[in-house]
Amino acid sequence: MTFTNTVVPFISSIVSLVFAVIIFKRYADRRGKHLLIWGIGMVFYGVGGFSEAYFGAFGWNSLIFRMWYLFGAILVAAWLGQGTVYLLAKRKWANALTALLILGSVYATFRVFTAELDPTLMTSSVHTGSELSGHAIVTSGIRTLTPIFNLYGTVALVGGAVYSAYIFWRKRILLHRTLGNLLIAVGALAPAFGGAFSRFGIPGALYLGEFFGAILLFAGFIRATVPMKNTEPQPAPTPAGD
Amino acid sequence: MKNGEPSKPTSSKKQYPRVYEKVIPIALVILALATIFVLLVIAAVVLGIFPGSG
Repeated sequence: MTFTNTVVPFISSIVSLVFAVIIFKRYADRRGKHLLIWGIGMVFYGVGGFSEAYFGAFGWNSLIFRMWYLFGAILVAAWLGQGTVYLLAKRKWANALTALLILGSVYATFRVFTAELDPTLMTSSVHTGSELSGHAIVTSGIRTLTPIFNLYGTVALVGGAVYSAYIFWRKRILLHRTLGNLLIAVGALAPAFGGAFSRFGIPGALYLGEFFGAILLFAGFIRATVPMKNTEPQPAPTPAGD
Repeated sequence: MKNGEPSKPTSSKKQYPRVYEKVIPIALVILALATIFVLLVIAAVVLGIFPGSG
């Protein structure tokens, strides 16, 4: 048990779940499917973090592992990205993609909860076994689902946030939304970078990436939804000598 | 110059506060590059170049 594989993911989980409650409250006040789906995505984020903390504190448990892999490794990015799709795409396309995502999620749930597991395999390759790893899954075909969901989630969530920030910046409007989207993009990339460094054998990289990701996503959402004072765009200064 | 007319010497284009005018485009470029990097890593996992997928 170390600080990095117990306390860090536990804090990530708490931050994610508090964030989810705030999003759901906003959804109750204002509606908007993007808020509902982001809220669901942040609940998944919280479940993933809780599962990591549980494994760090108490050791292997097959149910906890399946919850971690399904919600934390496969579904979270795609669902968060789907929320962004509702902001940027036409409603009929967003609804169609949501239907596909729900079908894919049901399929992934079935595969993960019927998979054969072997926790000793988590120490294979560069993984030390101190963190959860998909290497424990013996059944073939399940781990290939993960990059497919994550590819979609990354393109939608990070791409959507960067695109939105660019549009606001180009028009020089709503500075708080420009900054909020930049923070959301960084926050969405943090777990992906953590996962990449984890593949290179850096211990704790994934959990730290998720920790900073949760905080930056939260901060970005707050920044994007609360206008800034005294930062309204100003006319460009007149050229000297005019 | 447009249609043979000289452009006006003044601009009415809005600007963010100076610090954001400098930082935001740099951040956008870095984020775009980081996104491409992550997508390449995911593609490498799909193609089996990296040892695992989660």
